[in-house]
Amino acid sequence: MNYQTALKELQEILDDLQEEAVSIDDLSEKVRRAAELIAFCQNKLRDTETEIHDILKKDEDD
Amino acid sequence: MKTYTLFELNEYIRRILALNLPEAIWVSCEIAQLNPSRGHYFLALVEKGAEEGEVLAHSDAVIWHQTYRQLRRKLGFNLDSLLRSGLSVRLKVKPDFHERFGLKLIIEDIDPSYTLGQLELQRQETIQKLKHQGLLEANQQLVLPSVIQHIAVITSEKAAGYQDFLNQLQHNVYGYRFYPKLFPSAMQGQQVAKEMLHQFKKINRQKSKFDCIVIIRGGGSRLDLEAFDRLELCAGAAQSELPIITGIGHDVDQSVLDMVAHTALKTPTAVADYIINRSMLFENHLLDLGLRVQQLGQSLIRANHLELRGLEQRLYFAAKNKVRFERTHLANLDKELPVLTKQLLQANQRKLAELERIKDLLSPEKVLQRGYSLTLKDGQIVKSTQTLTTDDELKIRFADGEVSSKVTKVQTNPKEAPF
Repeated sequence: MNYQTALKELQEILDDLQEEAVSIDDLSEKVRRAAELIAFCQNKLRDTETEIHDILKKDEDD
Repeated sequence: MKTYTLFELNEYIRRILALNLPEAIWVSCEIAQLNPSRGHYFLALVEKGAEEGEVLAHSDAVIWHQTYRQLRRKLGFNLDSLLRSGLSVRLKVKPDFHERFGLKLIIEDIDPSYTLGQLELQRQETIQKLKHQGLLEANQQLVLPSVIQHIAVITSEKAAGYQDFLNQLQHNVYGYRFYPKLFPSAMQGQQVAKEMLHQFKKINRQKSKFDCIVIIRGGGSRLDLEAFDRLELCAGAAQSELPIITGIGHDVDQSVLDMVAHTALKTPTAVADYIINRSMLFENHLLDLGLRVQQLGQSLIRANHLELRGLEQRLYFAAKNKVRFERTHLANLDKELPVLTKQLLQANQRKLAELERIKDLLSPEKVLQRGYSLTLKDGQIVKSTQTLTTDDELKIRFADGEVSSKVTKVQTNPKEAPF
């Protein structure tokens, strides 16, 4: 899974929720999945930011 | 007629001569030959005519040992330079006639300024001729390499100046290597022109092996330079295909060879220094170029580094912005999730409540209250007339109780025609 596919899936879940296309049976499962996807994306963002900082900071030290 | 003996005749000639020429007189002439013997110098003096090989006069002359020493004291080493065959000289002589040995000119004095003057005249003549032939500056047109390493050295092998030259070259402080090759030649006397011209030819035949010709000699008097004023020698030097550096100079005057040479210096040591210095200048130039290349390279790198730094900054901010944007987007989605979930749950609850209301609406009690009744037979709800026959006992339920009844007639509605 990468950020893009995770974000796409999350968007689809939210769209389904908005259109009330989710049955109650599936609701908690969908919400859990959405929360997972949000956590994944947040981690990915944080890692990416740290990496960017490290990569560019290394050059600044020269 | 009286007959004289030979001795009487010669004695008579001697007396006439002594009587008529009591004092020494000055004569100008050319030295044709010179023979030192036991401290005495025996000379053949001539006066040449205008024609080639024409001799107008000839006399034997002598410098007695004692006179030679006096002259030597007076003139120093110049004396030896003056006593050289081929030179024009002005001599103070006393003719002496000996009964047995004949006429001899006893030399008492010699005038160096006369010879020098004569040489100067010759010298000017040589210069004029070289100029006329366009040879005076010919050698200077040649290009002297910046770095001189392979040197054809014309000098006398035993000359002190040659050793000075080699030492100076070999012990240079920069550690440059030089490859001098000796082409021996007499540096004074009659042989100079002949030997040196021979060496010029020899060197020019292998000119690709050498960077230049160096002509050096280790000092001597002004008169020794006479050889280097000769037209033949100077013309040969001028036409050399390699540039010539001379170190034969005199403190005061320049020889014609110096004039035609590419570069004229005073001494062999000065020539060596000049060659070393040239290499040093060349090396400095190289170092200078190297430094400039390095500086240009560095500034180029600096400029690119700055540009790269700018790009890097842009990259950093662009990446950061992208992350920030995504984070905001994600935060929005994160906020939306519970809201949408809650909305969905509420929607379902609303649906459920509606269903409950409908259920209430359709409950049998509500229906009975509205005036409808429920017919039961044997505890079962009767939904069709066809399950009933006459005399069947029925219970009819109302909202507020029930009644028992009996079927008296069954009438079934005709079946509706299908659509």
